[in-house]
Amino acid sequence: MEPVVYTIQDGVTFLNVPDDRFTTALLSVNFYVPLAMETAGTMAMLPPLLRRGCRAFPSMMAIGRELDRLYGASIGATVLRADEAQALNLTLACLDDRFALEGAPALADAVELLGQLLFDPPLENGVFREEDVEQERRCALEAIAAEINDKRRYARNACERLLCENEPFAVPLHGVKEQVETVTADVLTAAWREVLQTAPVRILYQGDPNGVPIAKAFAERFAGRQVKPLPPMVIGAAKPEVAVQCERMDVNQCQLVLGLRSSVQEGHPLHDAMWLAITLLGGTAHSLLFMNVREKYSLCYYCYATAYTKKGATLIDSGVEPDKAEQAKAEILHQLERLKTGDFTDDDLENARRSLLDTLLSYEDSAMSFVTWYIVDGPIGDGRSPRDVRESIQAVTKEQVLAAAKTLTLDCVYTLMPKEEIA
Amino acid sequence: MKQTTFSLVTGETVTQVIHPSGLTILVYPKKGFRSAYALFGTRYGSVDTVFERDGKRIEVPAGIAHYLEHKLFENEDCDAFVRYAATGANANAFTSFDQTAYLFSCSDHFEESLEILLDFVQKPYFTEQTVQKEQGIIGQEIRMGDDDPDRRVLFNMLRAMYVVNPVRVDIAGTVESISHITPELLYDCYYTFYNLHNMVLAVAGGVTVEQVLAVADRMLQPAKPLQLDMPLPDEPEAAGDSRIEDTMPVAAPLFCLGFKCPMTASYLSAKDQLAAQIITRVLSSSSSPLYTALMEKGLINDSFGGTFFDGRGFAMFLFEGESGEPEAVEAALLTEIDALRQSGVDAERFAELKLALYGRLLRQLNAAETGAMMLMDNYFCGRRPGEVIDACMALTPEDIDERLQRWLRPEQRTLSIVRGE
Repeated sequence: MEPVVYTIQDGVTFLNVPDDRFTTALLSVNFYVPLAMETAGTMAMLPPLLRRGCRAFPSMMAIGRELDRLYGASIGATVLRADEAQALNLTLACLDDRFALEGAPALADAVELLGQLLFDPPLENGVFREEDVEQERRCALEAIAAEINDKRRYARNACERLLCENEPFAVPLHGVKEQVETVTADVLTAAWREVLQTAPVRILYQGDPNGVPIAKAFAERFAGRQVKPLPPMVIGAAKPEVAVQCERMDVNQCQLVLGLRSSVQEGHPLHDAMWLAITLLGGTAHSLLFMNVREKYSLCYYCYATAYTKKGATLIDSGVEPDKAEQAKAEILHQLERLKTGDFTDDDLENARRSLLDTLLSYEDSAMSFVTWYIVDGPIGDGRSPRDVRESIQAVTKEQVLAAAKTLTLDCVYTLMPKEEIA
Repeated sequence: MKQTTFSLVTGETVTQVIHPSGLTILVYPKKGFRSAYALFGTRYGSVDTVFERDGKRIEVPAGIAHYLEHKLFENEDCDAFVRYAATGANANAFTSFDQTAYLFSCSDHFEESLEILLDFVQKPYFTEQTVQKEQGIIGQEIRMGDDDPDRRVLFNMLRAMYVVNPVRVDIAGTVESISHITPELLYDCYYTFYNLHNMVLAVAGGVTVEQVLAVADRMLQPAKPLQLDMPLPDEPEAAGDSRIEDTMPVAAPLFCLGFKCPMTASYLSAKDQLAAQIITRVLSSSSSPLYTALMEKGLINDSFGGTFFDGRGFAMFLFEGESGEPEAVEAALLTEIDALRQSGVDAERFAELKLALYGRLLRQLNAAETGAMMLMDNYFCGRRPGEVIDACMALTPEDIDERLQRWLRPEQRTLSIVRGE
């Protein structure tokens, strides 16, 4: 399955995936803006702010009731990471008209509602309503503060910031408190107008072929804009010395996160080999990390490696007993060394490959995963489908995996530790 | 072998087979799908800590069902994850209060993966050494949960609300309780609950009934007839405690307001469940007046939401979120519930929510995973495939009003709060 790509204009694409296997149609609109400390909080507030109302349905309650009437259609409004850009995302999921009761179709009305939310918000004196902005700012600040509630995510974010210090990649996706506090209705209105006029847009439709004309007409509303391309990704390298950061909090478990850098990045010939290498290291329940750190030494419940392959950044994270953090770190580094030196069997490699190939194939049977693949790929992504990547992964050799793995360098170690160390 | 076919509103069919081994098999082929999702589940969860076996009463430590789930992956000769590695399937398992299920998803080599699933779940192998090895792994899983405030606020609420029902005990147990687990106790649990008559195999996706049955015929060992007594706990209607508080490193107080529903049978009916979902949305969805009012007053943020949660022997409404003043949210909800009980559900609102419910039920049929989960859940509750959608179409406002009189009474509630330090 490959989407049919229509270029509405330069920087505005419509990816159409006619597919009658699902009960629900998806229509997703994504505006891409560069991740920057000065704007991230403002931009992240835009999707939920727009989701609050339009002139025809000026309150969350009115929108909620309209969506209920449309067979419980949903409009998600969020921000996703697309490497060093924010994807400002509004995604409609609506029951396919084939299943509408008593001939009362919903898709056209739901798509119209999505359009009104984007283009026709209930402004007052030309700007967003003060009460909406206030509530949204409060929600944004509370969500930023609540990062601390999820210790694993908190630790991963902290390690990411350490790993890519001073690069756009390290900017928190939802911005920072100090900036969000300064956001006003004027700032948000200007940002909204700017995004509508200049941000690269990707629109995706996946659903019954009968819905295609509705989706296409929607996409064409984005013609005639002055799109500004996104800046290229910042090329980073590992720090000369491994950075170590330890934070203490009233927790029971130690969160251990290792950050790695690599020169293999977007467009590099070993890009897909790196993907396979990281899968072999820690991407499955039979990976080197899982089979050793967890199964052999019983040090943890989870130990995974996740790569932002385009950025050349990898995180390895595990939750361990505080007094065994050093042992776990040593074992993780030992497994990394095994990967780099080829100390694994051909079966290990083929198992990792099979698992990755299987996962890539499964994207086609999950509408939301398939659409998300193209959202996070972003307008400066290479546009490859899961099937394209699959073909490439099939051809990766052991030598290429080794060559990619050899470029992995430990850059930083972050630990979240209990206040009183149990030793 | 008894085979029955059920039609769904989408035009698809689900085939139910009672296999000669005693296992019920449900197959939901999805046209045009390459991937498949299989669940092999047993009606056995963390609540089943006291039972009879060979006329003997056995009491086992908290967390043993979950421990058993971990240990079953390890057979005498090989770890199941290693076997799956050769097929490329993505395998996992979970234990809830009332179920344990082993699962895999795959896009290729389905039969080989199904063979592994049916094989390892039927071959327990527990020794002192292998049981010991898991203490460290599950210990860290428990520690991870201990640091999770969302989990703490919920499990505290359950512990306070329920007086005797074992849902008041954490599914994973404690580091202390799992230290008492022995191979003998694991075998006692296994041979009591992992009888094929007490289990189900649910498969959805790019598969055929014939494919599944061919593997089942080859792999399933006939099970002895089973007489399992799973009595309803003698739980009082009122909540044990109306309030429980705790502290953890959190940004703002988290709250979970639960309302216990009285149970007269092991499971609620489809109509009960659907009515409960409508009530939850009338009260607390973003299309409710209460949500708007609380948001305007700054008492909730967008993490607020209401859900209905039920299983074997328990059912409850949950209203959860983050708030500087959880008590004020509680008071507002109680007032709103009282008003709704007096007025009954508005006819127009009911009609909208029924359409929404219909749409959401159909959305579950989108993916192999949600399809298989739905089959398993409904089977354990004693519902035929498609019954819930039919019940949705038949729902009336009176169904809602009648339940509003029995549920959500102030004395059935518990407010759990986790505050920052």
